[in-house]
Amino acid sequence: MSGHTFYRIHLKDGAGQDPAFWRRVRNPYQVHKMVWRIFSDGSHKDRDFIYRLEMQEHTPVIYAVSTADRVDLDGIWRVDAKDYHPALRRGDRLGFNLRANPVRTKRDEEGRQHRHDVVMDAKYAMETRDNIEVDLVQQEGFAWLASRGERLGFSVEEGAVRVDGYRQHRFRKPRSGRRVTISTIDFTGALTVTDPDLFKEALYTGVGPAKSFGCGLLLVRRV
Amino acid sequence: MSEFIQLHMLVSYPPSNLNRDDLGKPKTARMGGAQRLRVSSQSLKRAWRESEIFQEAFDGHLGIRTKEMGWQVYRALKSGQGLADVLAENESAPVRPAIEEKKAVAWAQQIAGRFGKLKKPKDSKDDDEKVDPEKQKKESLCVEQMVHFSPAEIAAIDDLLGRLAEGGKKPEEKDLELLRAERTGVDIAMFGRMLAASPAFNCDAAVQVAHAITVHKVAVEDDYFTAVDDLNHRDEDSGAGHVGQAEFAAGLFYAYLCVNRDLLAENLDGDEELTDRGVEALVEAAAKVGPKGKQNSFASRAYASYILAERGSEQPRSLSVAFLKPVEGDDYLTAAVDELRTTRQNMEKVYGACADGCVEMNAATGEGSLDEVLAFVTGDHA
Repeated sequence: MSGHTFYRIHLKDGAGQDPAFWRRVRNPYQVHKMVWRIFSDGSHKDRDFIYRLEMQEHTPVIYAVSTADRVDLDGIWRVDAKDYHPALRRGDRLGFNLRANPVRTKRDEEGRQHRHDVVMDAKYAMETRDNIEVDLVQQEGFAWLASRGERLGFSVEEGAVRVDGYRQHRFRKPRSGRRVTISTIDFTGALTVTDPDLFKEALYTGVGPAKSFGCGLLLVRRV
Repeated sequence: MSEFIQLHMLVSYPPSNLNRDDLGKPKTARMGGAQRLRVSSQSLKRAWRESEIFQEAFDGHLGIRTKEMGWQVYRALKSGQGLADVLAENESAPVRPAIEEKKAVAWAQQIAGRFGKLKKPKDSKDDDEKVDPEKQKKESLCVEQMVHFSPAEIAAIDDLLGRLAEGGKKPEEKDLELLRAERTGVDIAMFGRMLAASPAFNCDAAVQVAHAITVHKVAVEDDYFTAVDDLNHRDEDSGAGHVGQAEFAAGLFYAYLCVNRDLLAENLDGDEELTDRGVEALVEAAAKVGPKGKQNSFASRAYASYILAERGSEQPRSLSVAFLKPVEGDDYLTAAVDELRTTRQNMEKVYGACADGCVEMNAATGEGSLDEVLAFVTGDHA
């Protein structure tokens, strides 16, 4: 298997001044296509990258982890790359930052799977529309992350993780016209590695669903 | 009223990560509603104290700051080498009989315990990680807080080690009275020391140093990209060493320090010659030496571009208000010098003279000189 690379991708100087650029990135679907064009030459292939888009001083910065060679069809990006092969041990403590799409999968009566945003799910369960979202996001978000962590080789403590930035994104897929809703939550804090191999896999392939829409990339650093 | 020497400096550092917080980001501060880069005063003081300028000026008058004196004492006892050689990592022949392991540990703990509370070695809960016994022993010989040892104290410890080695018996209570209030190191006289265990031997700092902050606003880049280098390696002791090339912001810093000359002289037992030498070396180091953080990756060595020195017995004041409004434009240095001068003049207008005299040195325009500044700060005083 080829190695993984950690990318930081900025717009080239001037590219952000072009209004056409901004017309092409109005929703997560468009962003997804834009990032795809950095890592793919257009021929059909499986997604082999995870990424996260951030706005820094009003311009986009993309962090990504991939085994792919970048292509940058548009030629508008400045790409920094580093080999990514973290040397980790059980018990290592890392600062982290994660934007994820926390959903719970449930089967309906006909056996079909449905994904439920954990925050909305909790709200429905409590049959309330009161403004208790801040606590709910922290509680439900943390519970979601803790249970994922067990499978992905890390543990988190309640006091050491801030869960906020709950947002819902709605858009239509251009071809099918299908409506898509994705909610995201931001996690910031410290985690402890419990299984280095599983954890590395999580660093390379991401946490939770909606990875093609910029969710799941774990940003970590030693603390 | 004491006499004060105040130094206002503008120092430009190229992209660097001079001083990191506990998450590895460059330290910052908010001032005037904008984010600035910051270099802590501890970091500046450390750089000056460890500079060659200090080493040369005060050969024999500098103390040592460490948590590990007990470990060094143990090594000296175990090998029979002189303490100074052990501290300096010199290969040297034993000067006295070597002491056996058990006694060396116990005596070293007794001695170190006099300067601070001994650390409790961590016991291992995790079966995966075998505890290195050597590491554990070292831990048990260290104290919790940094202790600043004066040369007189180091000599006293070494003297005791000699007597212990000859006698072969454990130190008595009176042997352990190792702290010295007099004949203190120049660095202790300048920057003071705080011994929680023995406050009688504390020393008030004669030099106050402000945190240096940029005169302009700075966006600090997120360092997850940088952190990759750190993650890719696994070197036990190099936590700080592996944060590689980050495009951390460059900055023009305002640095301020204030010397209470009378207190410095008092701390140095009235030695006027040493006091002047101290002031001179401090100013020279402040002008030429910056924190060493990431020096190998950034080579961020920089001399001060501008210095304004003041002397007088008026109440000292920093001129940082000059930069409450972040400096903008494409010539930070000229703008910052102007702001500093204007602020000083305006302050004198409303308060009257804030110092008996001042000199300036500007490396960008070639006006003034460091020699003039040094002559001014050590010149005859009232």
